[in-house]
Formats: sequence, structure tokens, C-alpha cells
Amino acid sequence: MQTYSHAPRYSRSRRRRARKTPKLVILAVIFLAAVALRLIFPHFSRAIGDRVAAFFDYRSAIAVLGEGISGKRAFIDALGDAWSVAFHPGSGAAPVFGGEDASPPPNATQDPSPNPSNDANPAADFSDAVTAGSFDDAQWGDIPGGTLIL
Amino acid sequence: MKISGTGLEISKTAYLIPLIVCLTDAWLLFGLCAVSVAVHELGHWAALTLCGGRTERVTLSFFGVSLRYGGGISYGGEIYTALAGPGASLILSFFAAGAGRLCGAAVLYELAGVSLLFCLFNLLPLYPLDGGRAIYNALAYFFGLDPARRLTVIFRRLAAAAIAAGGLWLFAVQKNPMLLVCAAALLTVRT
Repeated sequence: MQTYSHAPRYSRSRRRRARKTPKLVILAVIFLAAVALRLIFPHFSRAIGDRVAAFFDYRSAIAVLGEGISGKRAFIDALGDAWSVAFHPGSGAAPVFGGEDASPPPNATQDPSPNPSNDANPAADFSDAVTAGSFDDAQWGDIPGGTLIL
Repeated sequence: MKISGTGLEISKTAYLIPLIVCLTDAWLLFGLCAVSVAVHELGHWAALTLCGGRTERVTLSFFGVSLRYGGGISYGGEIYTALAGPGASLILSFFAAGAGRLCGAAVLYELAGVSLLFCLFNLLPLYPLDGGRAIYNALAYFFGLDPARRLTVIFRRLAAAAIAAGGLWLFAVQKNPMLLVCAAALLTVRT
């Protein structure tokens, strides 16, 4: 009668488990390190994201594709535009939707504080800002058009 | 882990997803992909259930979600199941685009675009992908299993070579490595 021992199978599954565990621990540690990196240095992850976007603007490309499906632009054109936008970021074939991304940033819509004298004689305002008093003493409100200069 | 008789397995490569999302700050893309993948797999599951098959295991990995199924379905059922996923993605894409057109939300256009990309990507004639699976089953039905395997390998090599050539061209002309990275990722999909 031939008998089979369970010992080899047991040790094999144990070896497999023993191999698996350190790999999972290493991956978990890498993942936690990435999360910590993201939380501690948010600019770092944003910089990586920007670097990827410089090569591959996926958000604009998929939005252009979506517009192609919706019929907002011709689908064949949308395919070509998506390619251009994805692999030539900044090529100008950006999506044209009227959603939140289309609105300019809030600072851009704010008018500078109205100052009638600016319209009347702008040169006088600049001369005042530069020559009257020392620059260190001046407050932001004292410099006409300061927000525009910045 | 098992949910209602179906094994759920998370591959080691699945850890790369949150890792890359964390490092590249691509949370929105991650959310859109999650919705698209869920709808895509629901399409597969619905078609499989209609054909009388059963899902045995769902595996989540860096390359997406794979379903292992049984129940002895026909070649036609296999093709139907394989194409149901891209079909579901296409339907989601149309719905999202229509909704985006109605309410003008950029995120809906992006969801439509992601779903369309999922649909097109999965229709590539590379065997583990849905398009390759459909071609394999159609060839197996007409010519038998061995010629189907050989022809599928030829299709896979041609498609991979075309994508790699496109990646090399883009890298040479634009110094842009992204398509090359996509080709490398595509070639490393387990076949």
C-alpha cells in the first residue's frame, strides 16, 4: 500500500506563506510611506503630478473625448484634439466646456479698487508712489494699483 | 475573502494604484476610473449571469479587475460576455456625455472620456483584454483551439509592436515617454 505524507504539502504552503508575508509587509510599508510623503510634503506630490501633466495632460484629453461623444464637437476632430492635448500639452486644443474649469480664477475677475485719478492722470499716481516718502513706510493701500503690480 | 460564494483577491500589484495616486495627486482620475471599472465589470457579470455562467473569483490588480468564471458557457456566450464589458463602458460614456451636455459639469465629460478610453483599450486584440478574448473565442469556434491560440499570439505581437513603435516614434520626435510607458505596461499584462 502506498501512503502519502502530508508533511511536504504542509511545508510547501508554509514556505509560500512565508514568502508572501514579507512582500506584503514591504508593499504596505511603501504605501504608508507614500501616504506620509503626501501628507508631510504635499508640494512634492503636486510637483510630480505637474511633471506628469507636462508630458501627458490626461484631464484635458479625456474631457475633449467626452465632448466628442456628447456631440459638442465632431468626434473625429475630438479624437485628434485629444491626441494633441494629451501628448502635446499646451497645444491650444483645450476643452471648451462651460463648467467650473472654464471660469477664470476669482482673483482675475476682481476689479482693482476704483480710483478716478488713475484714469485722469496715471503718470501722476506712479510718480507719487515712487517718490513720495520712503518705500518702507508705504502701506499696500498707499500704492495705487498695487494689486495690479503684484 | 469570499462574498456570496465569489472569491475576492487583491493582487500585490494593486498596492501600486494608491501609491501612484498618492504620489501624483490624481485623486479625481482615480475616482473616475473606479466608477468606469465598476460599470465595466458589472457588464461582464450581467452577461455571464445571463449566459448561465458563474463568477468564481474577482482579482483586483494594477492592470484592472479580472474575473475568473466557470459554468461551461458556449463560445458565443464567451464572446458575448467579453464584449459586454466594453458595451457597458460605452453606454456609461454616452450617458455621462449626455448628462454633461445638460448640466455643463466638466467632471461628467471627463467620466465620459475615461469610459470611452476603457472601452477602446479593452477592445485591443491582446489576449487577456476583452477584444483579444472575443477574437480568440471566435477563432476557436471556426478553426479549433490550437490555430486560435497561434493566431491570437500573432495578433497580440502585432498589436504590441504597433503600440511600441508608436511609443518609440513619439519619444524620438517629441521626447515624450508616456506612450512608451503605456506600451510597456500593456506588454507586461500577463497573458
